Amino acid sequence: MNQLRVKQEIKPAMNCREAELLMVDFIAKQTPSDIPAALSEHLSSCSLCMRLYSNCIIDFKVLAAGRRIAPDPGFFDKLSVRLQSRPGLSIHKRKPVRRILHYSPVFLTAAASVILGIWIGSKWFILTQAGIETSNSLSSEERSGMVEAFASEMQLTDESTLALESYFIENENSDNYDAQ
Amino acid sequence: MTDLELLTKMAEGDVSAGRRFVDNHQVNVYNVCYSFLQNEHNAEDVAQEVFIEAIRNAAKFRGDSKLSTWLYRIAVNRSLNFLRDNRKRRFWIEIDSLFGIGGDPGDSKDQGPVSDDDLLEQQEQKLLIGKAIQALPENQRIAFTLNKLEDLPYAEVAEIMQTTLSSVESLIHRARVGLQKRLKNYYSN
Ligand SMILES: [Zn+2]
Repeated sequence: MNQLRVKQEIKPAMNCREAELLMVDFIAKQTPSDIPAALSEHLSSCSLCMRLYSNCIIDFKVLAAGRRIAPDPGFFDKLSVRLQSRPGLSIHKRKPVRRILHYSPVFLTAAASVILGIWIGSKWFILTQAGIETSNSLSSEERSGMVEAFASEMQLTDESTLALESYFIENENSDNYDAQ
Repeated sequence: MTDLELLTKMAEGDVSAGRRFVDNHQVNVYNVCYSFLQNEHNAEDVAQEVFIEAIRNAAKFRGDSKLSTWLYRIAVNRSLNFLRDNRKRRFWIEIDSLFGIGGDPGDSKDQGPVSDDDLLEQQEQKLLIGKAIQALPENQRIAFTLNKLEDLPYAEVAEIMQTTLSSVESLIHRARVGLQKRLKNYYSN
């Protein structure tokens, strides 16, 4: 015990390098009570370190003045405005995907067109693969059969079937025209 | 309601949940950005982008770390990207000036009024302490900033930086030594 006490008493005071490293550690601490006693002791006896420490603290205070301690009440509103300018990211105007699918007629029309295109393409491919070499155009029976089959798959009404049939004929004619 | 629930509701368009989520985190996010950027206007700008990225990626948040840790990581990355972009922009402005495209760099009087932000930036650049921190290598700067300025424990810094605890300890040790030398050098001259 005696030996320990003697060791503590003869322990050399903090040197300047150690003091400087501690200053770096406590650079962001603004209150003197946060600073370790050993550093305070060194600063009170070393004018060079005291000057360095004062400069660092003064500068850091200026730098830290831009920090916030409470939320900015306008922050969320500014964020909302910014979000509204980003497509698909507005907090106020976003709709769940299911709602978009359910209500948008434009989306439904586009999707139906794509499905129709794929369906016709696949049927056409099967027919040509089967070696049917009649001509590039379908007979009226084949055409109405295809349209009916498509209509039943898509659960379309008779009116829609007629509209689709006329659409087919127009496209088919223009295709033949292109081929010539 | 948990932070994750608030974020999810915010991403779905719930304004009041969004406001609560943002108010819970905006101070910390802003301060991290400010520590890196040392400019209020830029920190505000980047902090807003952090929340936009969080909303955009709300579904990707796996919940294997704290949500605040995830936000801090976005804030650090966004701030560093901002600094890189700014450096690139300044580089090209200097190149342009060198070849006479953007006018004489010393001819600043003819380039219109200097904004408050520019003045603030110039003023902040003069702060040697800020300069010393910014001069640290990037990983040291991140570890030092998060631990010493933002008061985050080593374990959280490691999680944000996606590295080990010992690596963070080593980075902070090197940052301390580097800063000690720089500060002594700056303030004694
Ligand atoms: Zn000293």
